[in-house]
Amino acid sequence: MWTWARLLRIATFTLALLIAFDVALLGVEERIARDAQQGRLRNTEGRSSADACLNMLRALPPAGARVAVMVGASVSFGSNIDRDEALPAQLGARWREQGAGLGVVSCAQPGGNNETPIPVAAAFGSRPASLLLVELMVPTFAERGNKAAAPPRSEEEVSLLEMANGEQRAALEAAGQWPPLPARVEARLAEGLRSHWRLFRYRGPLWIDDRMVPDQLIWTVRRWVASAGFLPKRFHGQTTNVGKLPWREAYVGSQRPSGAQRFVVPRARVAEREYAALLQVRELAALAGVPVVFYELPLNLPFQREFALMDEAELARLETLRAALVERMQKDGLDWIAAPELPDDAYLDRAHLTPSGARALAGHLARELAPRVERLAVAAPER
Amino acid sequence: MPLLSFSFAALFLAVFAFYWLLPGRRARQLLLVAATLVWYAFGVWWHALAAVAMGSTAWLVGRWIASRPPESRGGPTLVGVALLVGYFIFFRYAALWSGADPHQPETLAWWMPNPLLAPVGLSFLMFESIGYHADLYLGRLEKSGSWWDHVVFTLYFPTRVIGPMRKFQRFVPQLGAVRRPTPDQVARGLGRIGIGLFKKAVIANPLGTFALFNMQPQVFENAPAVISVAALYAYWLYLYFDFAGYSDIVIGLSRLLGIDVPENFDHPYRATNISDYWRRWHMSLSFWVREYVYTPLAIRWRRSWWGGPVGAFSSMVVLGLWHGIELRYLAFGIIHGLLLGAHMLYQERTRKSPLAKRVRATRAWSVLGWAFVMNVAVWSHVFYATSSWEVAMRFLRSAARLAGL
Repeated sequence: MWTWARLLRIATFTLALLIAFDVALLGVEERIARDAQQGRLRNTEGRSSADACLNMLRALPPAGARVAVMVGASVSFGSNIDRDEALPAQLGARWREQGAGLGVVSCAQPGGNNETPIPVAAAFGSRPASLLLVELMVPTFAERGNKAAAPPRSEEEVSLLEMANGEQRAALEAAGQWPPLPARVEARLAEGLRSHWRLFRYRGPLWIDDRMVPDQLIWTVRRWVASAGFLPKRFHGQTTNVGKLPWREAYVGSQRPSGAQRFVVPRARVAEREYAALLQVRELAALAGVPVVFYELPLNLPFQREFALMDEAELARLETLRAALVERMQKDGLDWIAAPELPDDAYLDRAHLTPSGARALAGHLARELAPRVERLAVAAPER
Repeated sequence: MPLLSFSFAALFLAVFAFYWLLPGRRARQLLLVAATLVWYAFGVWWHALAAVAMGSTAWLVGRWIASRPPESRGGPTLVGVALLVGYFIFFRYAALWSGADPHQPETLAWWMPNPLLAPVGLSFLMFESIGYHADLYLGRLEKSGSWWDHVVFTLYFPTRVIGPMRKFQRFVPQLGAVRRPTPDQVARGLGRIGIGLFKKAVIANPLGTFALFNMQPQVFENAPAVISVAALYAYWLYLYFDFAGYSDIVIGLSRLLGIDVPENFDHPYRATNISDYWRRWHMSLSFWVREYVYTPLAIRWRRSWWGGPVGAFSSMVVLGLWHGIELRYLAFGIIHGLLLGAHMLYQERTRKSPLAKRVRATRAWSVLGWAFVMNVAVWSHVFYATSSWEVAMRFLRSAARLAGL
């Protein structure tokens, strides 16, 4: 039989347990902050999740910080490789070796799209970084027949948008990107919890495996079982090999990549909506005084040919699309870095990188960015 | 405003606190209506108007039915059903059937509602209202109730999106009837919410991630068939835990307000035959079709051997089409209707057979029955897991590779 006193006892015990746990997380919080500065922290794997990104940008000083923020999708995130091996961490390590004095913050989100950098650029309105690095995957710019609705922003992304300054907010409103009231209320409520409850704030990085969030549990278990040798060390579909194997070693025998690995390029024209996102990112970053550099991702075209995922006509369309995109970016004065040629073993699949692939791309970016980083150091040694 | 959101939690906490502070029934009803309007305002505000319009139409027709003598209530009831179904079709299918593209609003005529913005929970409201008319027609409900009762019935936000489907005469008297919350009621409500959250977040979400990814055509057509089949089984489990989890949360929330809403699931994975399965799966809907489609038809055709089976078949077709007027849902209804009809026929034919009775009492029979009904449940859900009839067929062809067909 339940009584009010019993209910109250249970509620008090639960609350005490949560408080004790939160106090115990104080030490973890410091470690997370350290990791964040070295590009070793990343968002929780899941659609639109920008939890680590929000925490990291919030932690920056309002006057600005000497960090570069990297935004992109799963390739920059480092799907199927460890966070130390992912592109942002490798670039951060290069810059530390070179004494560039520039940290790296990873805001990449698996499943991200060309609009993913918009909230990050908006957040610079109150927490400016030194540099914004935005991933560019050419096939995603192809014009498609259907106009798919943009996925709703997560509450973390809405919170990032709300960090915009007045001018940025006006620009977002003009572009129809300012979140509606219900989304802002939801984000504010989540914000309230985030600011008072460590367990909620760090629920992503606190998982024993940073890819292991409840929604991804089944993949994580699959990864463990495969790593232990009970299942093939590769997945069909988008989630590729678990052994960080170069694609030629992973896709052997009857194992073939799924259709999800195909680059779909129905037309060689640049989609206006996708391209507009690039301009908007640049505009928002400029309104916060942050330069933007777009870096093109290398694509594993031999993989497409090997498994006949794309035919020659489609590969030709991809080349034409790339040329059109480059021409347009040059015309609009967007700062960009072309993709390097990477060796065959740099890829896990169509574009995801092995640890050595990420290292090679980080090296390429560090070289290409060197003059820009020097200019940054001269222009703004300390904000 | 999704059920699992901070906004919903905040809204419900406020409603819970004020509900028990307010003195009278009417004040509490007003609070619930106001909360539902806030809930609608967080989505599409005019959905509240659409729901009230549908509820008011049901009430007006209900008054008409109640005003007629019992023997001449058929006509008004049919008018009511036609209006409610027409209302539903107008919002959901007018644009689609006219060939317009809902993703391109410029292709819609001025009078056409965009089906992508169709009022939430419209199908639940339609069936609840049809049930109300049928109860008046059948004499199970004597009075049509007031317009306000209908507004309160229609605008009860916890059940608005995914049910469970309620009965007017059982629901309305409960509103504000309990004066103070009891610790037992609060504990049972919170416990049920906890169970629902566990089902949804810990079990359903991981299963859903696996199942929905592998049920995409570009994935299943290149994957080993064993993975695709595993995904289909995972999909059924995902659907069960997701829907049952949501239902638990709604039942728990309602209990916190001193309101009992119908149960929706009773361990469907324990069913050992198809009739048993439909007594356990989405119960508020299956009981609705049993009460308002099967029973009237079975009574009408009670003298013929085929009355019951045909009634069962018809009710499952209605149940299938309730999910959407599409070939794949019709196929789902036909499969379950045929099996349910066959099962009824088998039971009827072997009712007096001692041998059949002995066989049915054995464990092996139960295990075989369980395996059969679970496989029927899982495989028929291919029509829900895929986006169209064509994709469902592609999936089945793909899965057939496993059997070397």
